[in-house]
Amino acid sequence: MVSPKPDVLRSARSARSRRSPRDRRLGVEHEYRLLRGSEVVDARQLIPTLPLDGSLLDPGDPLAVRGEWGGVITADGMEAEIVTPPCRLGVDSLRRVVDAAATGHAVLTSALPADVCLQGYSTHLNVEVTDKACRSTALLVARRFAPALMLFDRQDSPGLLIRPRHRRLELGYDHIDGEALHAALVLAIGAAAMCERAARSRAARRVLPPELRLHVVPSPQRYGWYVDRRAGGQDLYECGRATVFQTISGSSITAQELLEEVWTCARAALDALLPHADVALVDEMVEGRHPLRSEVTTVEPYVVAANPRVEYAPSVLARRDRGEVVLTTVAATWHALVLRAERGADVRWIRVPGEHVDDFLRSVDSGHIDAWLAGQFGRTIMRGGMA
Amino acid sequence: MAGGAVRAHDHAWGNGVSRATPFDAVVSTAPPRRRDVLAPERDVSRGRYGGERGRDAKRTHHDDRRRLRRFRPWHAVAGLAVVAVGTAGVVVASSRGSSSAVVTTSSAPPTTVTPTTTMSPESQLAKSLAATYHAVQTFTDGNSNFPVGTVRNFDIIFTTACVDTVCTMRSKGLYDVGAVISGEQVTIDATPTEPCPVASGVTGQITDIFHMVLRVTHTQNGTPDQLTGIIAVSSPDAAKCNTTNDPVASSIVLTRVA
Repeated sequence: MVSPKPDVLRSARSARSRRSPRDRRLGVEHEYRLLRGSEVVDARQLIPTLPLDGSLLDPGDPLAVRGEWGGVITADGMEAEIVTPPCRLGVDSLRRVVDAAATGHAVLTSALPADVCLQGYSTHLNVEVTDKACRSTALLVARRFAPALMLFDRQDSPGLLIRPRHRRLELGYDHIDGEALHAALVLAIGAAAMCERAARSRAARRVLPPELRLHVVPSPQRYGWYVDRRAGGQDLYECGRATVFQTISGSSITAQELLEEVWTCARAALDALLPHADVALVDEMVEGRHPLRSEVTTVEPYVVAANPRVEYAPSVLARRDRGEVVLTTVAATWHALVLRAERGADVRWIRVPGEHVDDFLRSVDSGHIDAWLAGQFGRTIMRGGMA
Repeated sequence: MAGGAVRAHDHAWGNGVSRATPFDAVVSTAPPRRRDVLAPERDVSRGRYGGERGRDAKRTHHDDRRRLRRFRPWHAVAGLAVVAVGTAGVVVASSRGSSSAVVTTSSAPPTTVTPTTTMSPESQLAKSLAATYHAVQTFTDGNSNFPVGTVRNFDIIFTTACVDTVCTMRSKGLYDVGAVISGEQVTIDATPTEPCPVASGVTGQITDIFHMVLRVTHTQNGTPDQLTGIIAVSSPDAAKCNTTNDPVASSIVLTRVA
């Protein structure tokens, strides 16, 4: 029996405890309506018939095809949906997420019949948040940040969904992509980071923007909240930056003033999370030197400049031959990755938590845990599963 | 095994989980269950885990935005008849109005699998699926007749007929139509008809489009024990009854009972 190098295990073992705020993951879901002329095509019926390369790896979604481009194409109700692979915050992370979304769009478009086209329907932004603070974070975002976040949405959007999911905060916008998506992601990350901090610390709560008098209603399907464009009384998209909100202390604040307060607050968190170049665009938008997405009616469709393949993370689809051990992926979700490891007729199942998937696969590819892998077959493991 | 990175609950399980775990990986001799792969889902009313949905199954929801739009009062909402309990191929459904009505189906031919010298994987799967299943259907996109969250329980019997190495499968208790097997996926399409709602004042029938996609989950010994998937039902020609097409969708879990 071969034992893994102690330093490899030690570093892997402490991976969770060493996690920094930068280890926060991001993801985007785009929903598209499929149109054949003026007729809406049901994506649930069309998607299974499309020539999409990839594998069905989501046990909760029989239609989800994870492609070599890294993300997933599936159907959500009548609409087609593109899901980008989770991406850890860091240099170029926003561009990668935006490009991944555009790549997914290109992959889906190329697979569609010639007479079917895509029409943007909605966009959900996901930012990783600790599960313990997720609900409180979502509420703080809804009551203090929502109107500012909504300024980064389209002017025909009905409002914003804010949902605490398992270890992530989900923000539901109308369809946005390219630059608008980039800017919305920046603010969403900043808002999530600040509110998560404030959910745990009274001192951090003091620096948040004022709590607003908003009509926040429960989201009817998944747990969370919905903030309508008229939740403060005036229509945010008709009045724009001049929209007046009431705070719970009774004072008034315009959308522009709120936006500036929100941005000052979020920027404090973003300085440690994102490079300056990523936040510069939002600086310009807040100062009015660049229009917000809600201030323009149409934008040019975003196109990935070059290298349409998203290659910033190891492929989860690739079969891996590590000596006598062969690894194949059998399930992949935001939550976890499951690999089937075979050595001869002997089979083991390896479940990797979602936040460690990239690191784990890199370690496999580099051979750092080959000994550990081989060791799983030379030892007595009692029968039975994990739960 | 060298190293001592043992997760606390690994000890508690004591059921074959390996001890040293790079990147918190967990190794076992049995395939993981759905709950190990899917994130827990909060219940919609109180935000607690372990609610009705239990796990984050993607196909158990639809975009809230569409629902919020649909809930606006000026949108006419019409009901839609959907499957209910079936015995011996007789399917009863509730109508758009308050009274119930019998739904008849247009039978689809059973799936035909190309003959080969050995049994194809689809035929093998069809054969292994033949059993009675208990179905739990949960509406995830509802209408006035079937609000979101409505749960229905009924039984489905999959029967298989084999000629040499070619097997075909039919579903009894669910329109009694043929099922199409592709890989590990079972698709059932039907076109049931239903009478116009009494309240509409129109006599006649409209045709619904029923579409169900199921994915098979196997036990450790390879027996298919559960099928999970989605059902979508719509009435594209609802206008014939002076009413509106308001499609419904639901998740469905079939568990083998016999």
